[in-house]
Amino acid sequence: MKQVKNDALLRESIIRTIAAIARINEKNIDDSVLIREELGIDSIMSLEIVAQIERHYGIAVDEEETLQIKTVGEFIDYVQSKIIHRGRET
Amino acid sequence: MKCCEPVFESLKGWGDHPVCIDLGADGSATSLSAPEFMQRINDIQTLLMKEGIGEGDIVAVFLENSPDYAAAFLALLDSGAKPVPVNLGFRAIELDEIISNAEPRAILVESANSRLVRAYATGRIVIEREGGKWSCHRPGAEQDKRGPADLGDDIASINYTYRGYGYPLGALVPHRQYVTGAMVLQEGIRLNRGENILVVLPMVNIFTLIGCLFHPLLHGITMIIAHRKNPAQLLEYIRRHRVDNVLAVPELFNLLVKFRDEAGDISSLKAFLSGGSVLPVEQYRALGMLFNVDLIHGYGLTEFTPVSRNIRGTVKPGSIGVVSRGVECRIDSPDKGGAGEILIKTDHMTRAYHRRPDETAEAFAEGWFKTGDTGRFEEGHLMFTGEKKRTRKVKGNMVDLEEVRRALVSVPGVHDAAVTVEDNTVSAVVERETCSGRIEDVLGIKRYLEGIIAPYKIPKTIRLS
Repeated sequence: MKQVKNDALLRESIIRTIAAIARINEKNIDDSVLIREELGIDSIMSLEIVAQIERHYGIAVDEEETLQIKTVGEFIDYVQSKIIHRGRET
Repeated sequence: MKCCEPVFESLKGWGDHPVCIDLGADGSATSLSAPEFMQRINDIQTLLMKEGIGEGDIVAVFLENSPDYAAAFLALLDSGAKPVPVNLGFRAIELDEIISNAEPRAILVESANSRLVRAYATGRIVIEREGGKWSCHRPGAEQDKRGPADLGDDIASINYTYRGYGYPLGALVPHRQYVTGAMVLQEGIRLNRGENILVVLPMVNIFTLIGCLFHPLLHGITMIIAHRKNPAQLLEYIRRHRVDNVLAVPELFNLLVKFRDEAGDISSLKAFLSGGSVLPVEQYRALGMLFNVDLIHGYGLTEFTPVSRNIRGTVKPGSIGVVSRGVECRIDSPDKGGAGEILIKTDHMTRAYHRRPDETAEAFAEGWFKTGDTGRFEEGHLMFTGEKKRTRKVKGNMVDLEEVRRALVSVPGVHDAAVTVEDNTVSAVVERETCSGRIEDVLGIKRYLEGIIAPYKIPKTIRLS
């Protein structure tokens, strides 16, 4: 139950970050939304999102890897896997 | 004289500080001394000789920033080959034009980017870099009969740029550009021997090749090569490696502002070297105050860089600086406010585009180069006012509006398109036609464009008419 709640909070927080940087209402963003084509996230915006996520979750995001990510849902999954990986390392 | 020769002289008397520090994505930091860096150059030269690459051979370079990139570029120049640095963001439309125009005999490629060159590998020598090691392939070697290009001994490299024709133009960049460019840049930025510079931008544009490769190597400055570029990480690099100087585009400096509060001790910072797009007065003041650094902004083109740069200590905010020594500059047909097209003349600039006589004739006349940019003089400083040519800078990247239009009309069902840039955003209005296989929606059009042009050129907003 706690894990489900954490997942929802993580999802909400990432969407809020993306929405703020893309200047889009977060209500218009769901997992299936395409990061570049639909939200218009460019390379400079991506760098800012990565920096915010790294700062917030204490993880290292590989900028090259994020280039392969297409949707908001994939990005959330990616961040989640990094958080889990970090948890195992510590 | 080849431009690599003074670099080799500089390396001989380098001193104890490293030539470069390579910051890996895994958090590693690998230093290279002058003898170690020279050894890398020699190793690549040996490889080039073994593969028969030398005088006059055109070599497309698809490498990411690394000490090996720097060493390979110098080794190619020393061998008499003509490197063609290629933007790794380019896709089919740009690459088809560059490869068909340059006709490289060989390709140097990062194995991670080998998919980019797959379509062009047949009949060429392909040298691949993986994990710091080089290997050579010759797919369809029997077609490898391209002779050396007769570009002349004075030409160092072919650097592709745009002027609004809808396709890239290969500027024939002379050896003198690299050495003189680094020298007049130093007259403006005045870095001290033993300082370092953080290399963030890809070493594919002339701004980075001069500012982050030739200038540091000729002035005893350590290159610190960053593989991760998000602003929080850059500030962490600055703190941990006691970075003195950073060269970047204004948009990247502005991102640093948002993360300044938690940067820790970055008191090592001395200067931000800025170029590649417009730096308004307000941003200039905000950056300088927040980071307590000298912010030195300048202007240049692939055909010659830097045309102008501010002089440290006498910077005029909002300007692109004073014209570099040895460069003549005039404003053509000025309006009432004194603004018109910027024309330049120097012995060290590009004089032609590779195999493009008509475009060359339009751009170069009576010794002058028509920059296609507009500006005016104010208190001895050049002020940038806009672009006359059909190109625009979008967050430091050059976008050729006609090339984007061409890409759009190649989409099934698109008859014509109008492309504009405002507030750092590319937009398009698309006129459609009825045909089989027509792509129906904006999303489909953007997805199609992803495969054929660089991501930063894809319009953020597309309106269907």
